[in-house]
Amino acid sequence: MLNMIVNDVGAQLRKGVVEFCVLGCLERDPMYGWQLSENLIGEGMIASIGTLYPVLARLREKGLVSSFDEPSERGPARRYYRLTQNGTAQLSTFRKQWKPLAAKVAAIVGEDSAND
Amino acid sequence: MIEQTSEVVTNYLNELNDALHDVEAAVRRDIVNGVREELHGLEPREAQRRIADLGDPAFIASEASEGLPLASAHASPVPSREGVGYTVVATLLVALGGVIVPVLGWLAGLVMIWLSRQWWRWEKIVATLGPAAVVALVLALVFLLSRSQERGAVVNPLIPVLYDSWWSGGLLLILCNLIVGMWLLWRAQRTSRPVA
Repeated sequence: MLNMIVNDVGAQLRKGVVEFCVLGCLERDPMYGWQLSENLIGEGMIASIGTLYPVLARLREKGLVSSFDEPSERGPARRYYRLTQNGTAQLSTFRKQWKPLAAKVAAIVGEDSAND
Repeated sequence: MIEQTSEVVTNYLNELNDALHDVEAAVRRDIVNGVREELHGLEPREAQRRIADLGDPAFIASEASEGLPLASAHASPVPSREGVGYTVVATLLVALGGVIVPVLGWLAGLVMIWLSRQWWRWEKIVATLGPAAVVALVLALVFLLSRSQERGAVVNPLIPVLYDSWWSGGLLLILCNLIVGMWLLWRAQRTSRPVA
């Protein structure tokens, strides 16, 4: 039961920031779905490629991300995703707010004495 | 080898597409196309490795349906399926249901198999059509042999007449279903989706 609550906290935190993590990845370079998925799974932000595409769909709907097809050496064209100007602006806003917010939260909740 | 790759990939993509039936059409298309792009043209071993990395289509579908990160990053990538009891009952009904309750028992087993995500679609098709196909083939052979007997002078006592064939066919059907039931049970023991 305790584990479920702890896992739920982690899920809620990831849910809140995963869109910005996608924006952050795409700011460096346009990426295709699999690439993005591997990065985010590797960082423990998403569990599978199934989580990624609904996020990409939402970002595209909001105009923060756009897609384009690029020929691939192996076969069908790959669909790449890149940041739009709005996406860049949104990411910048997030960065400005994230650090102060994280610092405030840390100050409020304090450190876990159980791990000391 | 390339054909085998295509089959492996095609089977996986079909399973994925089926599993995503409740997901918004555009997202479903993006996911399937995204996976297809990555798996296209890979050698079988590499395709299998990537499919194993991707995980169970049902798990991907549940994630896509929720549109949320996983409750726990440490959770197993393979979702729990029906319980062992369900699997055993379904395979037993396929194997012996027709003997206990003629036709209906076997049909009940097949319905359970088709409702389950435990097996690939091709496995379900084999379980449904395989026994009948084998019996039909054997009966056709017997029929042809018995006709040649009528025309020829020599009577082979080892070749059954048509009346016997129906009984033999019935017994063969029971035997085939028994084998298919055991095969389904064996296939259900996998810890991940089949890739070949």
